Amino acid sequence: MTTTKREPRKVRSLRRRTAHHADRARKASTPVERFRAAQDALLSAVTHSRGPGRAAREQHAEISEHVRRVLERAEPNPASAALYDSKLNQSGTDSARLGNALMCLRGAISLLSEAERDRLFEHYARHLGEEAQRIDAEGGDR
Amino acid sequence: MAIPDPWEGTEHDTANPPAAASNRGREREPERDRARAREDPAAGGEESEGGEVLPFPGERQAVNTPSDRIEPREPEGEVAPTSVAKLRTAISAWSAEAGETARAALDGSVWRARPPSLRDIHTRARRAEWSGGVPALRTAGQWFGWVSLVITAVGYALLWLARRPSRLVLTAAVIVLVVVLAT
Repeated sequence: MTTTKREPRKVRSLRRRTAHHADRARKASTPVERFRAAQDALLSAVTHSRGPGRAAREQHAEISEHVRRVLERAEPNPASAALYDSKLNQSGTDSARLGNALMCLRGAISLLSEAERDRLFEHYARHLGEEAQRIDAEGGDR
Repeated sequence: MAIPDPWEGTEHDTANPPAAASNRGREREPERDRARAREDPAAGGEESEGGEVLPFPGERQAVNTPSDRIEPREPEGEVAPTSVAKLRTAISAWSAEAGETARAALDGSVWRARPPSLRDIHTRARRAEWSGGVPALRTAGQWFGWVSLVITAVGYALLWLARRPSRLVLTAAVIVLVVVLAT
């Protein structure tokens, strides 16, 4: 009696992760929830990518740039701006820094007017999700 | 990676940017303390001097986004949701949950799933979301929640003991000792 060959662990893991994040994105009913789902998907994809450090550094640089752009529009007070700046430059592991940058992006978008906020959450949710998919497709698990 | 700039397309539109820019400060939910502090020129002169406490970054705001949008809509629908409507909502939520449980029993989730933690059971009982806002149902559910929590805790303790032979043996020994000493 033969049994079907089991898929490799990394394939199963990738499938499970993808299903989890797809489920979260599907269940998210508000822009901010969609953003958070995409944010977690990206962080997870980066962490499980072939070169997590490099991927996280690249993403961090890009996201930080976006945070600065959003902050230019949001015009936070000096204390708040300094806080964002220190969070963006905080030392730590690469994925922790990426997590910080994503958190800053969410916080910065929250400072905008309501219509703008929702538009930006949708915009970034879409692109962060696409980015996560791209990283997953590139190599997936180590 | 190329996440496009969200303002790329809208930058050249003549429709709203100047207006949006001019009243952006006011749109930013002036009822909040932070925004009020920022808008008040008299008090806001030395904003950072007194060490203004700023929650970082908008965990609270991010959570507020959906409720801010949804709240105004609710009163517009009906004049006041009657108790019958509330009951109907509760019943529908209840039946949906019952259906889910039945499905879980049939599709093998019972075999795979982990039992819920005591904290989760407690939270569920405390919130009593299934009651659909009917006060009597909510109170009854919360009371039963406490009873069920105690029963579940005892059950979990028994299961914990039953999971390893050494635990069972030790428990039996302790019980025997207690009984012997007591008599």
